[in-house]
Amino acid sequence: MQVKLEMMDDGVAKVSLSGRLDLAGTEQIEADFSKSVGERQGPVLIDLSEVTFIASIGIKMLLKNAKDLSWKGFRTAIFKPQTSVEKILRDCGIDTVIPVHFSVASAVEQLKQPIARV
Amino acid sequence: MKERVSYEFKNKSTELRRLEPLLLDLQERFQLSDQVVFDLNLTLEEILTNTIFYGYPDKTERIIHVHFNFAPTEVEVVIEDDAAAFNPLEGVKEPDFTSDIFDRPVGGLGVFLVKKLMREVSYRREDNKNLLTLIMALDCSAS
Repeated sequence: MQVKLEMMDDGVAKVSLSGRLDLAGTEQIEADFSKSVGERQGPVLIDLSEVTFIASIGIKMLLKNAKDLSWKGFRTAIFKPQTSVEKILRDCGIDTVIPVHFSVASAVEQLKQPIARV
Repeated sequence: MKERVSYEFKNKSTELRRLEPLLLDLQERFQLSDQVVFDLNLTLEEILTNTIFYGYPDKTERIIHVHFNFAPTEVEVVIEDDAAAFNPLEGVKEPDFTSDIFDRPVGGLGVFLVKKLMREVSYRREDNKNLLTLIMALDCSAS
């Protein structure tokens, strides 16, 4: 399991994961992922295109870090999950709080919108 | 006619790493679709994780048995352990689809997913053992 961080031109951080978000994979990257996402001061696009499997422990990691970021006023979005992974995210309603995008442009547009607790 | 395949897992989290190669073997042997393998992998990962982490407070080494009974259109999976009595189906809640990111709970999705992916899930306690039976259609997921 790997985490790769790159800054996009518009101030959005793109965090790309590859491998399996099962117990072993999630434990392996959890600390790096928190540094790259939850501890960031800006919006994050999480690229799941190379993630082949996700279990509830992986979903928990995504949600926890997205929550941490939202409390600082920044949004998180998911980019291009594989079909089986996307199905699980939607089954759990994760897409209703971390929107799923298949276009970088639409993701960035949403990520730049301010977020605030109503 | 059902064909039975059984595996044993020790109650150690490192044993979960055996799931993927084991299921890929079954995929080849029974011509399972990628989606069926994904859903079985997720189901077993969730159930075995719960049993390994919470079922054995004394931390002694034990064996968890997983039996697959393959029929032409479905597979029955029976997970048998001698862990503390625990019915994972009790108190399972639907995920919260309505609250915003600030109020969304981060956990409690594992058994919900198992119920979502399997056509039938049942639990019984017998001879001091937990027996969880899962039935899944082989053409596609139940959901």
